[in-house]
Amino acid sequence: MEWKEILTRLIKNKLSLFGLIIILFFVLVAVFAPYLAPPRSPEDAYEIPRAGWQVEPQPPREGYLFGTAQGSYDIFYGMVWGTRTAFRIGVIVVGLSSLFGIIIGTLSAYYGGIIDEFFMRITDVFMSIPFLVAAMVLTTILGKGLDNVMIALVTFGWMGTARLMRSQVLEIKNEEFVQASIALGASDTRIIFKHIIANCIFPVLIQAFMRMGSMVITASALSFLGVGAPEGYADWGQMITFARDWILGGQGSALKYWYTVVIPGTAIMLFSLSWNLIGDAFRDILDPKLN
Amino acid sequence: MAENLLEVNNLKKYFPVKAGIFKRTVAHVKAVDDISFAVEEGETLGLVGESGCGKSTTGRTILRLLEATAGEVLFEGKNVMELDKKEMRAIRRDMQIIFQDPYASLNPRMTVADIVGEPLDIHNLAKNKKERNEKVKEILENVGLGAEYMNRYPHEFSGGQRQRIGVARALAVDPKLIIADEPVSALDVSVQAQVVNLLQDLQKEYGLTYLFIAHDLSVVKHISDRVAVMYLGKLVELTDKKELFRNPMHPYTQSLLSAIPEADPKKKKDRIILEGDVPSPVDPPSGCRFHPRCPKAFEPCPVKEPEFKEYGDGHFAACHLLDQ
Ligand SMILES: Nc1ncnc2c1ncn2[C@@H]1O[C@H](COP(=O)(O)OP(=O)(O)OP(=O)(O)O)[C@@H](O)[C@H]1O
Ligand code: SF4
Ligand SMILES: [Mg+2]
Repeated sequence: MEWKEILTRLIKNKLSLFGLIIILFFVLVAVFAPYLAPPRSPEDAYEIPRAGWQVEPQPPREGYLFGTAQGSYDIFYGMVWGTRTAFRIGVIVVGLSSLFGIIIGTLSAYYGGIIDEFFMRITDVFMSIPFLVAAMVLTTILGKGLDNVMIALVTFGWMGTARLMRSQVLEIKNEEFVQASIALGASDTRIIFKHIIANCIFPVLIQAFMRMGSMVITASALSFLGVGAPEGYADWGQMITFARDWILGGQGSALKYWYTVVIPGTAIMLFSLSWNLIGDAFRDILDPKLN
Repeated sequence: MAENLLEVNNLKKYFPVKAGIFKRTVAHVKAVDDISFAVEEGETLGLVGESGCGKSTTGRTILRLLEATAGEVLFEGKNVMELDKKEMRAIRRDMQIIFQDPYASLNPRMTVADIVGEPLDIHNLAKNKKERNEKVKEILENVGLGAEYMNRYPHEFSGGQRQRIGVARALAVDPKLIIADEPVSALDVSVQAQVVNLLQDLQKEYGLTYLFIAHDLSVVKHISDRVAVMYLGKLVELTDKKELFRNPMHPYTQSLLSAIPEADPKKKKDRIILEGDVPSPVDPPSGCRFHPRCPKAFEPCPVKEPEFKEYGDGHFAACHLLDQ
């Protein structure tokens, strides 16, 4: 099946079309961030401007479309520039960890023996530690900051891909077309790239889509737990963190500070949901039993 | 007499059977157990036997798609088993394989041009893309496929056409020997003859040598010069095709022959029906491996293994009856 056909079918499916539209919307927001929310100076565009020094969140008003969060941070600005952060975390973390997973899984399965034994032991060790705890501990050791969050997420995020890739490669490697290529005298690199990876990349891709969604949630959770981006950095997790002390509302009105929670919450949820919808549709398209 | 292009001497391939948490080897599947034969330049040697008797394993071990447990394979006098990786890659140009399953043997994500062009790329047989595609076109025409198919994917073809693509791929390196592993048994009966005829035409045109694997004698009858019969990892008979059909010596060959439907209905034939199933190659029967099913078995059969030896003018067989 070819890319064009896959895309057509993604668009035909209502749920994945919804997902695609939402993702496209976020892409546009990220691309046009400098126009939607012009920074005061291009160097520190990711620093959320403050409307003043007031601690209490203030509701949406003229000039502050989404209101201001704790510390008078502009929620609209934080959300717009935070979109870029969300993509950066998603693409870099999922991209790098998938790459490591693909390399380790492929080498393990293709060469087998001691190499396989070695890599799978390491994978087991990494898998035995709960992901969030491990990421938190490592970020604490490395220090606060988004780069360190990403390092931690990559360090503990490749094992699922490695295992998936390994099982895929084990299956494909015994296919007759691979044997045919060996019989023709093909090099290992050629066999791995042209025949093996080309035929087992889709499940990994599906998994990557799913992880794009959950990675943003994980990164937000780390921010919420206090090991994420530094205060004032445009990041959705940060925006949720600002809401931490105001979630319960106040002065007789439980919904008084709704905008501090609902706005970043909705963005994170939509972002995550969309990737999952696309991933799901992708899986259905590629499942030969459903075709 | 022509030279031997391929010589197989005492070839063995055992697959370990692993069990338990420590994955210890507890037994071996004796898929190929000490077989010897030769293929002469320009001939077609048919290799026949029931499913699971080790035909594919023999073919793949010769090509070192599987590493042999023991024995040697001489190709043009050179021991293939001793070649290093680089030498092996070079010699692969001379020996090719056609697979049984026309679906599994073509990469579903490659176009026909890339599949047939792959051998050219691997061995740098074309200077540039244009020359490569010209060559691919030529090879496709030789197997009866038009150039208009070049940019299609395997799933757009029928089984017969796919098998032609597989043949084209093997031909692209201009090999001397082709091991055809049941190349037509997955095809519709109507297409089988076409592909067999194609293989015969190509043999004449390119002076190819075939090791043609099949699970019954009817296909082999058409294409082979000589026939080797295999049973449970061992060769039981090997001779000229005409001689085999006229004078089958081994009881197993006799039963296979009796299973071929007779073209002339007036010639009645008693079909020899074998009792029982093929025993497991993990724990093959003692003595003659065929003895539990052999209608002619007698005293020495379960205890002593019959020797595979010549009984006059290139007719080899392994059966105690012949020594009486
Ligand atoms: N990779 C493997 N590991 C373990 N056992 C194997 C392996 N490949 C083949 N065998 C076993 O070796 C024996 C011979 O198999 P082989 O495929 O050579 O038979 P065959 O004669 O080609 O049969 P068919 O007509 O079904 O193709 C069988 O018992 C099979 O189960
Ligand atoms: S050796 Fe005995 S069992 Fe084997 S084929 Fe001959 S007669 Fe039959
Ligand atoms: Mg076979």
